[in-house]
Amino acid sequence: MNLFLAFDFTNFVGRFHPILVHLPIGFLLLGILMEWYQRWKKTEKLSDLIGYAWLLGAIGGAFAAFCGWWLGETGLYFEDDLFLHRWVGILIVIISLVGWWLKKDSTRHSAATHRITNLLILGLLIFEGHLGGNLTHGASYLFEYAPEPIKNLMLNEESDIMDFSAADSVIVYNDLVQPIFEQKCFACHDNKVQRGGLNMASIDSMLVGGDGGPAFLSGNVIESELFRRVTLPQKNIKFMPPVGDPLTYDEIKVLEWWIASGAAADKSLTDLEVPESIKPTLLRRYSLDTNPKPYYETVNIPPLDSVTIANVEENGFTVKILGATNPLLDVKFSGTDLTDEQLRSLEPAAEHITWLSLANTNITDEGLATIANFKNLTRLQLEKTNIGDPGVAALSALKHLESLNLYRTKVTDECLTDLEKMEGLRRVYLWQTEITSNKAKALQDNNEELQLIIGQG
Amino acid sequence: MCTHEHKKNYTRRDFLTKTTLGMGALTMGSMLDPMSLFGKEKSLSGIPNLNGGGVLGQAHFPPKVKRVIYLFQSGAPSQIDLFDHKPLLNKMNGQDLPESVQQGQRLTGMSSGQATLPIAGSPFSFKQHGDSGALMSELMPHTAKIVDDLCFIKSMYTEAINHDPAVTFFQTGSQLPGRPSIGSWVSYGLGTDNKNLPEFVVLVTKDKFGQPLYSRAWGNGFLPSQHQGVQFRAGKDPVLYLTNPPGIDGKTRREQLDQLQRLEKINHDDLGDPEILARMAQYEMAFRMQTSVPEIMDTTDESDYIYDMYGEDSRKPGTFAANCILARRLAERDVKFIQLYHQGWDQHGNLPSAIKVQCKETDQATAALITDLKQRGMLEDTLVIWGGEFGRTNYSQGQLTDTNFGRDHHPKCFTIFMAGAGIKKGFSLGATDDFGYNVVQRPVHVHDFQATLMHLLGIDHERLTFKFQGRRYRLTDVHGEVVKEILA
Repeated sequence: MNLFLAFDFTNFVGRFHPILVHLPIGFLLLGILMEWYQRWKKTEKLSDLIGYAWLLGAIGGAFAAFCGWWLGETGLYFEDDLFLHRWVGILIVIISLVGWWLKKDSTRHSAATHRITNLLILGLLIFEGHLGGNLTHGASYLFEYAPEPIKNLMLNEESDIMDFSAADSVIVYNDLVQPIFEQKCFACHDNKVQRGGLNMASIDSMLVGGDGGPAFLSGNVIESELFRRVTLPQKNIKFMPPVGDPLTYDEIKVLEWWIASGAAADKSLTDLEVPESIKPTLLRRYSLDTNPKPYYETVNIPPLDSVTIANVEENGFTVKILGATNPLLDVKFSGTDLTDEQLRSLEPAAEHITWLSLANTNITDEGLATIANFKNLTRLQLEKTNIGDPGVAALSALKHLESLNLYRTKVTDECLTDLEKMEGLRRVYLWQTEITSNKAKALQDNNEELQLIIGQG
Repeated sequence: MCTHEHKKNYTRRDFLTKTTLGMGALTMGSMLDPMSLFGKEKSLSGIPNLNGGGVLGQAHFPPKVKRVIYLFQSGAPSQIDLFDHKPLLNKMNGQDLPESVQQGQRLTGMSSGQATLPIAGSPFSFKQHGDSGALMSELMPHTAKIVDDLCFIKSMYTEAINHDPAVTFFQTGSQLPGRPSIGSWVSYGLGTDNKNLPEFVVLVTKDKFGQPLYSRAWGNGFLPSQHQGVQFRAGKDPVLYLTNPPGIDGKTRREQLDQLQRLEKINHDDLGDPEILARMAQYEMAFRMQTSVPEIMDTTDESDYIYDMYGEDSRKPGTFAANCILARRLAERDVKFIQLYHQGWDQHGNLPSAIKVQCKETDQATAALITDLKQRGMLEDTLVIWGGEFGRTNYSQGQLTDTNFGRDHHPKCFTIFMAGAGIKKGFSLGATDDFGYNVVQRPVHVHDFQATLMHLLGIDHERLTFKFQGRRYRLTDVHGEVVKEILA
C-alpha cells in the first residue's frame, strides 16, 4: 500500500495498457491464421505452435487487462463504455486460455469446436478494439470523415449546433452551463460515477453536493466550492478537472454569471439580466447577440414586388432594399420639387418604408398626413424643409419612429408636446429651429431615453 | 473575371470543359433561380452597369453606415502621448526597457542599434473627460470635449513596421502593392448614391511633408478603374484636367463625348476589354463633375460660425480643417467613402514640440466635424474614423533629455477612435500593458478593423470578392473577424 502512495500507481500502470494491448492481439491472430492455412493445405496434424500462440495471447492479454483495469480507475472514461470494455477484455483472456487448451491437442476436438472458438475470439477482438477506440477517441471518431450518408447512418447525428438566433429560446442552464459540465466534469461526477460523492447531473444533486458540502450556493460565487475549484491555480491538488483541459476563460465567466444570477434551472437568456461583462463572452463563444435588435430588423413581411418599386423610382425617389436579409426599404427623394402625386406614389410601399428622407424638399405639413400611415417608419429626415408644428403633430401616431431630423425647419416649442407622445422616439435633431434650449432640456430630463440635439450656433 | 482572358482563343479543352460542366451548371442555375437564365440585365463581365449600381445589387444585411469619413493620420501618431495613459513610464523615465517587456520584438533599423532603449514617459498631462471618463491628453482639448460620442480601440496592432507597407496594409489589406483600397471595394460593391460625384473621394492636406503617400493607397488595384479614389486638390483645379479648354463649351464637349462613347463601344464589342467600359464610365463621371465639383468646393455659403467651429485654418483651402468642411459637404451629397490624409506624425525626434503642431492642425477640426455631423443628424448613418498606420514606442529613439525625445515605430499596439453610426458611444475596447508595449486585452488586427468597417456598411467581408489571376481576392485576404464588441 505504501508503494501505491509513493507514486501515482493508477496512472503509471494504467498508461502501459495501450502499449501492451496490441501484442496479444497479434498472437491470437497469428494462431488463427496458421490454423486456417494448415486446414487449407489439408495438413494432417495441426502444428503445436498454434496452441503456444493462443497461450502467449492469453498471458499478454492478462497483462494488458491488468493495466487496463487501472487505466479505467483514473476516472477519465465514461462508466458505461468502460464496464463493457473491461469485462469483454477479461472474457477474451479466458477464451484464449480455453483456446490454448483446445489447440494443445487439437485432434481430440471436432473441427466445428475449433471454428467456433476462432470466430468467437475474432469477433470479440474486433468488438473490444472498437470499444477501446471509442473510449480513447470518442464515439464519433471513426465515422467523422465518412461520406455524408454513411456518417448520418452511423452517428445518427442530431446537429449539436443549437439555434441561438433568438435569445429567448436559449435556456441558460441547459444550453450554456450544462454542456460545460458534460464536457469537463461528467466523466467523474454524474449518475454513474460520483467521485468525492458529487453528482453533477442535475442542479438538485449538485446542491446536495459531495464530501465537501454543496457544489455551489445560489447567488454566491465566492463561497461556491465548484467555482473555487475550477479557478484554483492549476498546480493545486484540489484544482478541477484534475486531468484534461481546464475550463476556459469564457466557460468560467458563464459559470460565474449563472451562479451569481441565482443558478436557475429554467431561466432563458432574456429572463436573466445580462451584465455588460458577460456580453462579449456570449458573443464570442456562442455568437449570442444580447443587444436589442433595432425595430426594423424584427419586422417580418414579404418583399415588395419589383413593379411597385419601379413605380416609386419613376416618381423621382431613390429606393434601396435594406439588405438581402431584410425586405424593408430606404427611400430618398432626389430632387427638391416634390408634388402631392409623387408623394402619393409611396403609398403602395407604405408598410415597407422604414427609412425615408424628404430633406431639402418642399414637403408641407399637409403632405405629412400621408407619411403618418407608414407604420414601420423608424427614421425620417425632414431637415431643410418648411415643416412646422402641425406637421409634427400629424406624425405623432408613428410609434416605431426612432429618429426624426427636423433641423432647419419651422418647428417651435409647441411641437415638443407631440414629440413627447411618440413612445419609440429616441433622437430628434432640432438644430437651427425656434426650439428654445431650456424647454428642450426640460423635456429631455423628463424622458431619459429621448435625446434632443439642439446643436451649436 | 480575369482581365487576361478578354481576347482568349478558345481551345478544344475549353470547349470540352464548357460543354460538360457548363451545361450542368446552366441546368443547375436555372433550377435554383429560374429568372437568372433569361431576361435579367446582368453584365457578363462582372462589372456593375454604368448607372452606378454596385456589384452586390443590395447590401448583404441592413447597413448601419451609409458613408464613411476616414481621417487618416499618416506617419503614426503617438498613442502614448495622446490616448493611452501610462504613468509607469513616467516613474521609470530614463531606465532601460526590460527585455521581459520587449520579448525580442523586431525593431526598425532606426533604433535596433541603440545601446539602451530608455523609457520615455509622456510629458503631457492626462485627464478624464465626459460621462464615460475617457482619458485624453492635454494635446487634444477639443476632442476631449466630445469623448462621449467616441469609441476608442486601444488594442489595435499591425504587422508592418514601416510606413508605406503599413499604410498600404491598412488601406488595402495587404502590405504588398496591387490590391484595391477599402474605398474602391466599397464603390465596387455598393455603387453610388450620387451619380454626379465619385463614390470615393480623397483629400490630402497640402504642404505637409514626411513619409510620402503613394496614390495606390486609394488605388483600385485589380478592380475596374472607375472605382479608384478621385483626389480633390486645393486651389484652382480641384480635379486635374476637368475644365474645358479655351474655346470649347459644354455643348461641344457633350457632343464630343457622345461620339467618343460610340467609338469606344465599337471598340469594346470588338475586344471585350473591361477597361474600355471603365474608361467610358470615367468620361461620363468627369463630364458630370464639371458642374458638381465646383459646387462642392465653393464654400462661400458656409456661415462664419462654421469656420469658427472648425478653427481659423478652415478658411485656408488645403488645410486639414478646410478638408474636414469639404468632407462634410461631400457626405451631405452622399459620397460614400471620403478619405482624408494628414501627414507629419512621424516623430522620431523632437516629439514634444512636433506633436503639438500636429494636434493643433487636427484636433479642433476633428471635433468640429463630429459635432457638426451630429447636429445635422448625419451621425445617424455616417461613420468617422481617426487613426494612423501603427503606434509609437514607449522608449526614446536617440537621446532622452529633460525636454526632448523621439519615438520609433511600434506595430504591437496603438489606438484609433471612431464616432457615428452603428458603434457604441463613450466606449473603449481593449487594453495594453503598463508599459504600453503589448496588448493584454482584446487585440484587434487591421483585418478585424476592415471586416468591422465592411460589416457596418452592410457587407459581409467574406462575400465581397473579385477573381483575379486565378483566385478570388477580398479586402481581408483570408483573415478578419468583425469586432462585435464595439457594435451598438
